[in-house]
Amino acid sequence: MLLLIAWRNIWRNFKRSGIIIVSIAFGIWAGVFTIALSLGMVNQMVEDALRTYISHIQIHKPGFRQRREVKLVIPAGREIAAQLGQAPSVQGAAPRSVVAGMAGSPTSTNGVQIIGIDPQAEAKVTDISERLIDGEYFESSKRNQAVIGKKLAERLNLRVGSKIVLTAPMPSGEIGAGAFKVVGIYKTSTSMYDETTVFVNIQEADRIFVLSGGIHEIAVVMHNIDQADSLTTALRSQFPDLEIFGWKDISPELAMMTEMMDQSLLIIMIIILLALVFGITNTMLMGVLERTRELGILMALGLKNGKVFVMILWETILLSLVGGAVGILAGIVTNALCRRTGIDFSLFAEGLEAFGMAAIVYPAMHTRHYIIVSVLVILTAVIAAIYPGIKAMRLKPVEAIRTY
Amino acid sequence: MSVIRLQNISKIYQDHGLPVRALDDVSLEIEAGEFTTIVGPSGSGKSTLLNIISGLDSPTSGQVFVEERQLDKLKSCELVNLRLHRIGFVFQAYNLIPVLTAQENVEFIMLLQGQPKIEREKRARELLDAVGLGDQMRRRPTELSGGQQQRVAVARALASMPAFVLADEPTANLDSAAAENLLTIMERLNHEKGMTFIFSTHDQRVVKRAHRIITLEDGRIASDVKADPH
Repeated sequence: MLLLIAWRNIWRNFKRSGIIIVSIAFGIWAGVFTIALSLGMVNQMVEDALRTYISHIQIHKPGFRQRREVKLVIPAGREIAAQLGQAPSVQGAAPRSVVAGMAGSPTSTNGVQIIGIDPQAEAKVTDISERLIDGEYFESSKRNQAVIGKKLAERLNLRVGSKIVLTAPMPSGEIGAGAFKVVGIYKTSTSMYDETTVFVNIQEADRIFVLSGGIHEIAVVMHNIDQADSLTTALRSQFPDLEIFGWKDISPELAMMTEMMDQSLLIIMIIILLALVFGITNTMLMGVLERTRELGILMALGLKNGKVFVMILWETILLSLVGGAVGILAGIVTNALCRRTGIDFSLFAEGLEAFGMAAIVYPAMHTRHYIIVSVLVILTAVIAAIYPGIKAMRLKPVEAIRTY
Repeated sequence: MSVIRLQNISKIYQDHGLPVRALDDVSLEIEAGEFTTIVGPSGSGKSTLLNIISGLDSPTSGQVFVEERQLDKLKSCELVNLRLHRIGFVFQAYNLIPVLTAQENVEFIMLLQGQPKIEREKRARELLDAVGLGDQMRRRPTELSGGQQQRVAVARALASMPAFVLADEPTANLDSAAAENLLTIMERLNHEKGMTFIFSTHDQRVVKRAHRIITLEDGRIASDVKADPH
């Protein structure tokens, strides 16, 4: 019945309760939307990075990641990639040759990473083929094709059909060079990547830079990213002579950003709720002061101090939960609506792309975040109830009845 | 056996730093089944006396015994339990819980006592029937007249099956008909169930029905007489 009394007490002063409920709802909605927006940005950034260039697992010859020496090839790399591609948990495994070199056009040059790919295998691992803004992906009938990023095209003043000269050191130490025709121009959400990455056919990279069939990297993408860790462990024991890393090791800054984002958003939510604590406490305090006589009567009749506190606590929790539920629901609806079309930050596209972020953001929020917000709302209510609750339980019935 | 025994009770308040003697060496005993009124002018100490009997207030000196338990020896939680289980209260301003219905108000005391729901509902219905409000059980206090609210308060006071009921000016806010009706109910409960009632009042209608009239003046018992109720 204490719960019933608490619930009905909330609605005794509809206007006052309504104002604080709206405040709580607005605060929670703002928090939920901010969380969803931030998580959407980071999730997209991570997904883009994984789908564009990192993949879930990378395999190299030891030392290649640090030194990028062209002679550090994986023995029987293509066979390993083909074998991995057959594994049921693996979506795709692509062999790559990776050489650092220069890209030149009649007007300019630029330092680039020349990645030799098997176009079909690569399409299962990265989404470069889907990110073309001009031209087309590799055509099997033509030779010396190159797919370059938009930023590089702008820098070197290249268009689809233009010639591009790629030069890079060979394992022998000499410089190899080849002329390619730009067949496609892609654009990712990371402008730096677009400026420094050129894709060519792995056979041609092998021929021009005399790699003798060797590859430098195998990129693996899982059907389910959560299985990457277990496959990494299994591959390490299967190929002890190779360096095998999961995406969190390859790009610790991305992993850290994901974790930090969770903590930062928690802090933002706590700050919002702390601000609400004062409003809720004030409302509850007014309620207690207004009902001093009534509380005194209840205590005179035999309601123990502890139960008086519990009654105020219930009232605060229910009040906060109503506001919290409205706020969370409004947040869910807003997120769902914004997820349909995305929120367009094109005005800031250049700045966002420098950080690898897309200009259109799709808010995303996991169930666990909603649960965390709900728990925080209850915690807020408990904190907000402490002062009015203590004030109520310290009332002296005889004084409360006589004075008020 | 006396249900209430006061020995040399004095109560001194501090009012703006000045001592005010509300009760001065009051001693009395009240037996089970009495229908007693405490009368006296405003400020004579009637309400203070009731507060001290109920343990809501403590005397400056002297001892209070309720069913031979000395109140100043009880811990605060024991005092709360004593009020909950052995004392019924009827206040001048009814003081029902506004968010609860008449039935829920009556049940509330039994809930605090830990009685099961079925028992609570049955007894609340019986008590509200007894005070003539069997058909108003679902109404909240604001939907009832003053007289009806005070009858709910009487039912609430009796719900805990107390040893006695303390009624502080219960008819002060009622019109004549409502007051007579309420007094008849309480008188009947006194006759039929042997319930002990102690009133503080100015109301002559209450005094006329009392079996014992204790008159307070300046915090002292000026007279304590048995009476033949009219």
